[in-house]
Amino acid sequence: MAEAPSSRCLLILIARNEESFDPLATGLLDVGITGATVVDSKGLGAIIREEMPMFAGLAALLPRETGSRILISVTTRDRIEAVRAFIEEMKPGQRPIGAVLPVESTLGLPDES
Amino acid sequence: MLISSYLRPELAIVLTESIDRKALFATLGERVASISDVAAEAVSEGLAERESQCSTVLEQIADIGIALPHAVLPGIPEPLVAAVVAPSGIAFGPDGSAVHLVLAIFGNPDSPWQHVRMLARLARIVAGKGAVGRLAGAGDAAELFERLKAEDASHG
Repeated sequence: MAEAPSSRCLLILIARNEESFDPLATGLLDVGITGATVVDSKGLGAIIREEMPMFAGLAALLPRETGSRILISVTTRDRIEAVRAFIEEMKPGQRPIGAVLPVESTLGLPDES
Repeated sequence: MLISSYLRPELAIVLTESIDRKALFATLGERVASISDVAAEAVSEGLAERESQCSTVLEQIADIGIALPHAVLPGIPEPLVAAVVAPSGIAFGPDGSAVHLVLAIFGNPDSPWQHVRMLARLARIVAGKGAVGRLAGAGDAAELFERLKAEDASHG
């Protein structure tokens, strides 16, 4: 028998820069997302600008805000809606980019309620 | 998370004179003690101890100094939130810099994440467009109480 689909979602958010991470994390805590994994990252633009000499001449043309930290959390759909509302409150330049994916099942998390 | 259920009219204060941080913490201690079983000294000492670790003063918004002091108090039955407006300023920062709006949290050590979430909520509220001005502009305690509830509700 197939397992019932989970009501949870995988939330992936990418902070645009270091400064925008604090308000983002504050908002997530407020809506109840207290468990998440945060990964330091670099956007492709930053890699090209800093590590690939072939593109050095184009550095000035590339956006400087290319992702600084990735936040990953398995959470509920209700909280996803609260996150959306919070992100709408953020200044446009601080808003993260992200995605929400359905979760088929979870491992190692408390039972869904 | 909504914090309105943790607000109490007794913990909304509009000061008419300039005081320092120590006097503020003493006042908050007396107010909390008046509506709970926690001793006033425990409250003021808890706030002072936390403040000694790292200042809770935030960056000014619209030239209004803000602080979010907080303390974890064993024995407090439920969290409480206090709001203080001081038009003349409170000498609060480590360098004596003035704040004009103080939002304080008193939490239970058994619910650390609740404390974190409440702190995040207050940070979100003061970051709201025009919120600090509206709160700091409250003319009396009743108005401050209602304004903080309204700001809380505005974030869903």
